[in-house]
Amino acid sequence: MAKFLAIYDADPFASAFIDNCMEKGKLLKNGGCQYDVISQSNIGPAVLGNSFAAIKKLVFDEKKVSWEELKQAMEANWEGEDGKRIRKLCKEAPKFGNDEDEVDGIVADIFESYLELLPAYKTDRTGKGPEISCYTMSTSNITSYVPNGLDVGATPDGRMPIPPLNEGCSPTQGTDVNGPTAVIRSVAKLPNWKVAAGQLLNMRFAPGTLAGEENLHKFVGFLRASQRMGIYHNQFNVIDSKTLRDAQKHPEQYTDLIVRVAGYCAQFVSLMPETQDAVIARTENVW
Amino acid sequence: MEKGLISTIQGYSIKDGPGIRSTVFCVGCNLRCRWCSNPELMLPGKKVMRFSLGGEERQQEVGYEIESRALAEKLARDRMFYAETGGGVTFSGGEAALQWKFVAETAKILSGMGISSALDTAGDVPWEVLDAVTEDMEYVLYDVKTFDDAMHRRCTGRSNARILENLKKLAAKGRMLIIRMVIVPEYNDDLEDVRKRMELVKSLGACVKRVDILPYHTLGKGKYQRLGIPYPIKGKEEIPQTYWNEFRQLGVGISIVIAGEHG
Repeated sequence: MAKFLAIYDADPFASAFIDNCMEKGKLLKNGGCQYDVISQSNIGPAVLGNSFAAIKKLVFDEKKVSWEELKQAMEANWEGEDGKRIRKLCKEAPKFGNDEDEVDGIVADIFESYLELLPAYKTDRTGKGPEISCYTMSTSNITSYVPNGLDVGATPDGRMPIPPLNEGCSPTQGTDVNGPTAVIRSVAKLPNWKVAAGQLLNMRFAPGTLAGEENLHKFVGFLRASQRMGIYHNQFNVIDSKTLRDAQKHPEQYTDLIVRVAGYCAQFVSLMPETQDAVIARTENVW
Repeated sequence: MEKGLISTIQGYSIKDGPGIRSTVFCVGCNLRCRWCSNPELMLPGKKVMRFSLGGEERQQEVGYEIESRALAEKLARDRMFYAETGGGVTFSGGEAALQWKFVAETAKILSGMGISSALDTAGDVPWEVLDAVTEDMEYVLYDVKTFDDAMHRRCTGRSNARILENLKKLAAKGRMLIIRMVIVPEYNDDLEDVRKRMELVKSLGACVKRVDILPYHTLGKGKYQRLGIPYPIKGKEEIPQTYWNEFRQLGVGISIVIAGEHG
């Protein structure tokens, strides 16, 4: 990546505004920058943590599956009777994003080990101009988690080969089922303050949960509480009917979708189809 | 330590009192409201709901036992959200007051942690029980389903004499009240009766912090199927706008919030 940037994104204009570039006579991506700290994107920490948690539970703690059996099931993409049975066990293992201390702790360990190893890696520009040139951790990988998933086979968390890895530091899509406050509590256990280049958490809210002044105030309070718990980077999606219809067709991909039903909020896919229809109809009226 | 039977804890609950709350759904109820949207919480004890999701047959177990201390600790995990929004915990159901020792003990522990609680109740329990269960609570969310006793019996299977008495006693004690009125077409939508309900609420004075009007919805229908019980409500499902126009002109001078409307 750095090699390509040096050629295609050397950017003389930006370099003119960066300390030391003029002095050194070098462009930004060729060693002209005084403090050259690069965001190194970590992709899929929740998939990895959930996988370790499943192995710990099934292979070591409960001894329900042997390592060999698990490996075979994954190599066969969970096909066959055994594959299906083992995958079900894997999917039922604890998942990051539900405020369960053990699995959340494993994901936190993954962050810590990444942070520990990162300083040992040198950039292409180390020793070629910058006073400091190193990597710092980020989970703001934009959409990289989608193409990265294409190259990753079945994983011990019960994931099929090809689907996306988890986005940013968010729970793996569809595995956080205890609502938004539990997600915040899980992410708050990560060493967020050390992830200097962006710790991206994405959440989805239904429009109804934010409708009206009162609910907006509650949402602001939710953001304040999150911030006080050390969450400094959070993005929200407010979902439209089209997505809800898709959720009806593919419920397994939407178990984290919370909708306001009538006087309460609920997990959309666990509602009865007619209730889902009612929610969709009303959402269209309002928005 | 008291044990209770609950079905779920709903986080980020925004319609059961002030702020962001966690609502605890307690199993078991002594009323049989025809429009009940949580029929799985009517009968005491654990039960199973069967349904299919994404073409897969599934079943959902309703009800698990938990000790008051363990429940309080679980609920306290969201304390930052309560603190930032003036929220807390709401005990609902079912009829939470039927498990009053467990609920009272949990509320007491929460109160010791600086967390505010509310009881969401229909109020048909002995006064001593209602008084004791709300001892360490900040708010009571109180249902006023009808004014007329015969209408109440038709809608819920029981008299409302004790319910209305208890409501007055809570007010006399100065408990902060949030009144909730569900309006169901052809059951309790009679405007003359609604007016009497409003007059009663007005007579309770300043302890009434808010009156929530909840239009009836059929969203509990699917749960009846899952439980294998016929849906008890027949007839109109929608309340026409003309009704709400008349409703608003009752003119008893209390401010109401109609759920689903956003000003």
